[in-house]
Amino acid sequence: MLNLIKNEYIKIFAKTSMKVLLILFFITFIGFNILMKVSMRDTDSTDVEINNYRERLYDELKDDDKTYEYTIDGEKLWSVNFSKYIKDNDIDDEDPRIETLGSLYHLEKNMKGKKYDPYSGSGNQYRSYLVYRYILDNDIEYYATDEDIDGMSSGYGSNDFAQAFNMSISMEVLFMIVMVAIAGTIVSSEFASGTIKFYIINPVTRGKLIISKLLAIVSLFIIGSGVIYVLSIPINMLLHGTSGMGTQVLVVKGEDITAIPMLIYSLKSYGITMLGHLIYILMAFMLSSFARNNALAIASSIMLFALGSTAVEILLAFDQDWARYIIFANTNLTGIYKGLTQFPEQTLGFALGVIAVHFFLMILTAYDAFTRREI
Amino acid sequence: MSTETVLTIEHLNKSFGKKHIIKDLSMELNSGEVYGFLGPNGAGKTTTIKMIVGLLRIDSGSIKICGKDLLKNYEEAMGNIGGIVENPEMYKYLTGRQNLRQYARMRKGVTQKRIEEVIELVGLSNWADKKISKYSLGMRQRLGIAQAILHRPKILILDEPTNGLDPAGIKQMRGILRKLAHEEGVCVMVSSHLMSEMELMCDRVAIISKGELIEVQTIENLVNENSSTQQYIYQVNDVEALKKLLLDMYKDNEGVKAEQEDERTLVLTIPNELEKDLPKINKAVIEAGIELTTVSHKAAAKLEDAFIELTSDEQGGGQIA
Repeated sequence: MLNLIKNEYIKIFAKTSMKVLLILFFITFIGFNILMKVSMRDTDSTDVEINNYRERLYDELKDDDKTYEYTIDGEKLWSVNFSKYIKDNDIDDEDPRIETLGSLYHLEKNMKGKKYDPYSGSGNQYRSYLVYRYILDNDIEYYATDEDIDGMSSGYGSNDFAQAFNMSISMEVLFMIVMVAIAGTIVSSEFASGTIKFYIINPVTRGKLIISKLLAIVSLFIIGSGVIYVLSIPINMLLHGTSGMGTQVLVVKGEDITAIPMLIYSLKSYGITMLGHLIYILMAFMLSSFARNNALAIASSIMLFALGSTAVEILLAFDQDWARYIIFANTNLTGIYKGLTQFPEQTLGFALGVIAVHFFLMILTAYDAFTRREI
Repeated sequence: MSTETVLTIEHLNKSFGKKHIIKDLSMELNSGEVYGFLGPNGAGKTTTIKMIVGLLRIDSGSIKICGKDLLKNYEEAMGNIGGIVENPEMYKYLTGRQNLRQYARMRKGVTQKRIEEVIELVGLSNWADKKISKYSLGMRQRLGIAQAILHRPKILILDEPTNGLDPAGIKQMRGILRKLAHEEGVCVMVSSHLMSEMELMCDRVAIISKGELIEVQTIENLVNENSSTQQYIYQVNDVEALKKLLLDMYKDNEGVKAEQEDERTLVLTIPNELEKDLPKINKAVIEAGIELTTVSHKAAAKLEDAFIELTSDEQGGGQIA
């Protein structure tokens, strides 16, 4: 089996078109990172600016002798005297904690509505309060919230590295399209070029042949995405400095906050994104196994990638509940995990189940089409 | 070298839609022979070959390769087969050697040394590191042969193997195939519609028509059995007079035919046993005052006649299904 997979790798990488595609991807990947650095420079704060900002906040807070009370729906959460807090905790005008204190200072102290709802935005202040308190209590310098990483907000604290890194690994979607092109031709090109005959006339069952192609595709996708993730670390360290490496991601769940190192949290959401993207690659692979036409498999997969979720939204608008069983209704795993679902009671387990069933059916279709085909 | 049956086909059937292409075909092929598989276009040669090498599914019947059933023991059975079906298409973006390495990885026991050996054998040493996109059809055909014999199969199946080869290449190919069969004991199955080709290459010939096996014979038997008559070509000034003379001489013998080909040529068909009469006939022609330019024996295309005779239908023409 390993020999068969090796054969597939050789065939994929020997093609000139593939080499061009990979070089283009690499240039785009590096170029995108540099472009991001350039565009961030405009909003980038220099050390002097940061120090000026901290000094200004420090001057404002150290003289405010009032005690503030933080409440939610009349219930008392915390009371603080900022000048006393600064004195007690030995905070000077260059301490990063002063920024968090400033954020808390400017937050409205009387919050209404307990539960955080990302759709209406209600409860946002309470959520911010929880995050700031956590940062202050645990003395975290670089942070981002789970919503920043998962692309639902664009805060990233004051942290360029975390933002740039997560943008950089989002280039995986481009790699997915490259993989769709490979998967969409891996079987059909054997037919188109006539090489299928010498490929079949070997002491290897067709089942093994098609599985080796599938494994080559899936492993290449995993390896390639892994390279994107790993390469994004040194590239962004080079562009944005190493200080953001220790960024903590604050995961807010109800009233509980947990801090997870960013490189680990991002890996998790990266994996979930990849799982969603694998659908389109498998779809191209399946189409490739019974189409003689290379373009058909690629074009239809990319079209479904672009239109699949729109189609679900249209069905949803017409109250078609069965649309929940469509795979495109279940690809936003990160959102579903957080409870942001399009359909009522659409749990993560349900979504994973729908995905698993589709994966199974697509692989079975590809297997069946290839093993029974008359050549 | 003792011969054994290496390929057994029993009651093979295949339909495409409602069309019954292969009808109850049974054959046995032995080691050490070049077996010709002959038939007009559309007779089912390629379909049969495709079933043997696993490209087409079998509707009913069985194919046994070295005692292993193709359906039940696919990998073991296929390990004994090498072949080329239709055009030899390889990966154009790989070199000849890289292509052979692809196939080597899919088969058991093919060493780097063996790859070099087959490249040498088919005469592609100078081209092995060039991409297939630069190969001519003849070179691809040679590489196809190299691919087919890479794992030293006991059965070599070649569909129209001389396609695209120049005369020197055809001769070389014939040499390679006969050597494989007669010296290394490989069973070589060759399909073709070129009779002259088969006559030079094969030990035994199977003729199929409309999906049915008509006859399996050694080349000698086939030619002799189906040629009970001999033909002579007369070039004369007066064909009409000659025709009259000949038919008068043999008016009691139905085996004798005289057919005018053009205004100066006549073809005389006589049974084998009357061949001794030729001097007598020729003398009579001269005596009758007919100017005889040449007489020649129509020797060529013996198998071709046998073939057309065997595969022709009532209308007398070779059929194209």
